[in-house]
Amino acid sequence: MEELFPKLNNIFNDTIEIREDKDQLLIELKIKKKDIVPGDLGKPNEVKEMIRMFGGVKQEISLDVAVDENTNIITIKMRNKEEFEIISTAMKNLWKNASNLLIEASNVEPGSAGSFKDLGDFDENY
Amino acid sequence: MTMNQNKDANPFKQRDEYYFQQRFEDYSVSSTYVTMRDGVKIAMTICLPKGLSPEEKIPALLYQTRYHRAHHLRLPYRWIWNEIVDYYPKTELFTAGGYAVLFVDVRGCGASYGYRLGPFSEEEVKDGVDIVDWITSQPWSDGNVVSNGISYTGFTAEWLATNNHPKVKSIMTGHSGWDPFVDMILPGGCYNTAFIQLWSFYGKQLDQNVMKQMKMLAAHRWILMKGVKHIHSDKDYSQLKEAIEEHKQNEAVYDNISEVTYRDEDIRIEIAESSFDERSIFKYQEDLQKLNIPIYSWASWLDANFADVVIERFLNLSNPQVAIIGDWNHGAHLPANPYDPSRPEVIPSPRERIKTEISFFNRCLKGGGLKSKTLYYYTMGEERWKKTDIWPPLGQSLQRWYFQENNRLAKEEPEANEGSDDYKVNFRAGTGFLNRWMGPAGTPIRYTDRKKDDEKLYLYTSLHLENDLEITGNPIVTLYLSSTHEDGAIFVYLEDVDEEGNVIYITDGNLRLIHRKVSSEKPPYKTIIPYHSFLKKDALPLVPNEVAEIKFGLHATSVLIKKGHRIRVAIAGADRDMFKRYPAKGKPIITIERNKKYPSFIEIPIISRE
Repeated sequence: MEELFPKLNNIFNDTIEIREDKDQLLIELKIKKKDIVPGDLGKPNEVKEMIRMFGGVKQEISLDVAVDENTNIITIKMRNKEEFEIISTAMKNLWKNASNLLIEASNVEPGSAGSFKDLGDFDENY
Repeated sequence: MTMNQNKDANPFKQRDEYYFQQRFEDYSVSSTYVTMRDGVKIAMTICLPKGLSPEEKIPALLYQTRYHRAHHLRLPYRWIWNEIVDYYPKTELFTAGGYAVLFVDVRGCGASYGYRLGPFSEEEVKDGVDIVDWITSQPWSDGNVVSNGISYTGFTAEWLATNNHPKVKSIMTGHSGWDPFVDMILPGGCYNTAFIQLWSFYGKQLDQNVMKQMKMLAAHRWILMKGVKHIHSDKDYSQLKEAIEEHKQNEAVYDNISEVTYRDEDIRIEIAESSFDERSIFKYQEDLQKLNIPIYSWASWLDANFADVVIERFLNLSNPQVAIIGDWNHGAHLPANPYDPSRPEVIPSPRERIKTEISFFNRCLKGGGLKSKTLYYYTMGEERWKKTDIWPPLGQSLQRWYFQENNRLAKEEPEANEGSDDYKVNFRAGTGFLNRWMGPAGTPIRYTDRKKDDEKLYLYTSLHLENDLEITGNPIVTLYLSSTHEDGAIFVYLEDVDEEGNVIYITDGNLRLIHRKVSSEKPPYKTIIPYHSFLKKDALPLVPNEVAEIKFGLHATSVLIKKGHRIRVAIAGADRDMFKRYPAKGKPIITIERNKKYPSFIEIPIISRE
């Protein structure tokens, strides 16, 4: 599996289209993968977790996330321009971070996961 | 039996009409519950080649695991990969080659219902029959099933064969044991605490669908995976929750065996008749041979006792076999050859290895068949593959090297009537965590320069070799020793000391001293090393300060020691990183005899190079 990791960033860029609407304070993610299992596109809390863990957004930002399984589009709405900018910046680095983190983690010796202590914890609930 | 030793016998470079050919580009993924004879629902993920015409029937590869058959990935990874990405490139290659691939959570694990009292329970093994019946009733099935796996899943593949289901045509078992007592739990009668504790804890967490523990063991899996994949139709995860609730009845391996000393002790108090042997494949040799299905059996010289298992299968089973012993870690994901520590990637690549596996199944299913047994083995230091149809290989003989004064190892027998060395057991001696006994956790196996480790051990070293020396097989050590205590353990390391004084690990072996009796009874399976029964009736505590013979085998290996290097035997009384301490208290002083009456020695299996 690890041999897939170096290509990950490119796959993200090819598979997920990001569209921003600054006026509406909206960011849309269109997932182009065809065979997503119904229910698997994600839940709003999973999208928020992704932004927190891989986008590095640690401050509390109230996001309104809508998941449309028919169109495979996830819509994230922010409350104001400042928060929009924070999320927009986070999204620009998110694929790269998610890729690099996986590569870094796969190179860590067992028992030496200390380098991830600042990453925080994932929500383990489905 | 004829001998066939080909010096360029790389099993991964063999090409014939059965070699892997890509027929399909992509595959579909679906999942379902299959109901067993007792009503327990077993979770299955099904991967089928895309573009398969309704008329075409294909064979199935069955993979039964206790480590989650499929994963619910975290976002954003779930948007690009599917639930079986963990098995890449196995599924891609098998489906491309025209196989259906079926991943199963064994009962009590993953998203399957039920509970487990221990690994490879009778019910778990019988599930294989129901699963094969289900598979072969599918519209795409051609009625043939093969099974493969590494480690636990290698065990399940072999256990499946003991059912003698006529539709199971071949199995492939990698890095698995068939006598778990000595293969990984109590090798030499010494309890492998570190691994069993970790494995037991890890299993418990997995069965409760907790992935946090992965952060320490395999951090990338913690980042990538949220847990086990639910069955697709279980959209509200209610079935998954019910299944996990049932797993709360699972028994933890460590809790049940941490106090075991003897092979014939019950491993679960609740099931009086269940002993190690009852759940060990060697006990079912007759069943395995009934249908004479071909077996592909493989492992590494460096991983637990699994190379010896490959050899034992080769010696004991009449089934046609391809047996392979290489120089990688558990499952062949990483290189582990101590003679080539800077090798960046494992050889063969996973892709090349899997293509060879597919070719083997193609041969078994598509008419070629397999009639004979061939063992391919890699000689480290020489960096060459060899093959043989007999074991030990032709030309092998045991060469004695005696312990002498001044820490010398020599071919001459000691002549002095007196001579012995005292070793106060250093309980700080250890092998770290990246060794053969932690190997089954999938960690790297890395025996780096042992110079520093050797400072805590008692050493016997030869003079510089005048010629290259090939060692292939099991070294056997015979020690005459006394101890200040009734109980204890001996760990023997065979090493290669190069011109610069770097110490290269070759192999090792160990024995808890109360198990020292070499049994004269017939062992339950043919073995090359002295037979210790580990039965309660054969326990023989030492009489303090009285000389006893301690004779045991080291794990099989194949290395070439270069001219100018030296052979070393390093002796310890403990491995604090992995094994339980023997005795539990006290600091024994071990006296190793090396005189005319008691000549301690090691027998090294050398291969004539002429």
